[in-house]
Amino acid sequence: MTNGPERFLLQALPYEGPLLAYLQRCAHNPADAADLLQETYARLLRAGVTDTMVVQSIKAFAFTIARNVAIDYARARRVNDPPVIPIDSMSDAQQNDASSDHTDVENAANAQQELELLAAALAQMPERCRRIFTLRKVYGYSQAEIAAALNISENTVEKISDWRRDGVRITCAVSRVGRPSIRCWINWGSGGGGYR
Amino acid sequence: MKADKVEREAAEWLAACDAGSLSAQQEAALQAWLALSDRHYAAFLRLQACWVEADRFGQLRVPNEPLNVDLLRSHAKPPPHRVSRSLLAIAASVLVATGLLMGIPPLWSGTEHYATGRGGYARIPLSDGSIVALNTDSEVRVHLTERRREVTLVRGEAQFIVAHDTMRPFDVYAGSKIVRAVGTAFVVRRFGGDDVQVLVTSGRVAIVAPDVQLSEVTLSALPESIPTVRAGEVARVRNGGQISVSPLGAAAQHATSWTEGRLWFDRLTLAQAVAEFNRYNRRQFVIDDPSIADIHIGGAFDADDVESFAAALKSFGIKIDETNPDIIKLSKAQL
Repeated sequence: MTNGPERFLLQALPYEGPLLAYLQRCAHNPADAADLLQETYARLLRAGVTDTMVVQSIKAFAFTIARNVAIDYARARRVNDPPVIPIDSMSDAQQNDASSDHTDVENAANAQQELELLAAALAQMPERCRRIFTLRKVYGYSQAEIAAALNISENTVEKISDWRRDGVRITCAVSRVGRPSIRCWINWGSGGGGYR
Repeated sequence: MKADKVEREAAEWLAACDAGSLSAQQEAALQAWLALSDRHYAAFLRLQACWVEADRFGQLRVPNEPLNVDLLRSHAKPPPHRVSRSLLAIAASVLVATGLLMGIPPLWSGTEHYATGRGGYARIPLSDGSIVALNTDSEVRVHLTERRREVTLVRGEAQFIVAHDTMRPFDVYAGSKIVRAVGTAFVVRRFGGDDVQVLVTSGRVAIVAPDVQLSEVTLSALPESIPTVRAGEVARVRNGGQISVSPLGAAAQHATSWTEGRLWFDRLTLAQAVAEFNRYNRRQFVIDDPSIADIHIGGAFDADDVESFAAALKSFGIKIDETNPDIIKLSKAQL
């Protein structure tokens, strides 16, 4: 529910691309950046618990929280030194914010393109994984229906949940494939459905 | 804390939820995991939002075409750096020609997202003056622009009281269909897949497939082929896209009683009534005895008042077993 504690987190999701780009400039490696992003979402969630809070611009609010997360990160890493937070990155972010309307309109126009990019990314999944995903999300099949349609024996049905789990993660990764800042995250390993 | 580990665990939980209903034990374990850290809950919410978003792939489906497990491959566009502009333009025009572009609601941008949990209810006033009421366990995305009003019913049931605006049609995306209104009141319910019910309480609506060029559809001059539903009628869209319209009859006056938290059962079978009650409550009724599933019952109950419903059933000679605190088993009383 939009009035629930989840509201800020859900509203901030469209800005994940720029948020992550900012955090990547603050962090020392991609794993730390992912960590900072998750912490940003956790704090957005906590902020939503106070139901009297009114936020004018969710984007500016999310960036303020991300900056605080980055400051804490810098402090923890350099106990004796003053924290170093890339100021230029932050001004980028604010600039980004000023032009947010424009960006949003652009995003809406790109929705179709984004779907194609998603399909492209998913098309590279291992065949069976891709087919399961297709049956689940395009055709709305249940697990049993998927097994029947693909003629999978009972023994391998359990594997489906593995594949679907990959599908869940894949979806999350590729749902942002259209945003250049994280395109580098999509890199299918030889191991199958994982992403890094 | 490692973000990747948390995300992996969140994905596992999401996959478990997606596989069907969780057992009481699993449900408790999930709640415990979510409560362990804000990071857990945040990661879960984020993945869930993406997973739900992936339902948009349903729009790629062409009605009446055979199952194609490699559909995604045919829609995949080669990586951008290898595609010239002209190729992109061709891809776009093909999509327009097949009408796919028209049927795809916008992704995130400018979209407001509302959801209720089990037993929840929300009344959402929109900026155009329309009102959306969300029933239990339901989810909508709302996208209002100067030219269009678009709502996607992701799951569950919602009532729409649409502010009149002939310049800006009000479209509700539900499964494979779009319900179009100009100014009216109606309820849309998704039963999963393409199974959708549209119940009109005032005015009328048109039901179209996403591959119809919507810009050409106005309610004043509808082609014969477009089914419309009028006040006092209910339409059911089954899998495969066939639409049947029937009069609501006496049920009409209670059709929206859920907006007041009431359930009206008018000669429903016990199985139907129980299924309806279970939508709203964590404690679930289970019919343990097939011989009582078809008995007919009627009456009005508060949707969250499990106790009263159980008491009423008991008074009609149905045995209530509450050994398991989460489940109320119903069977025929032994004489």
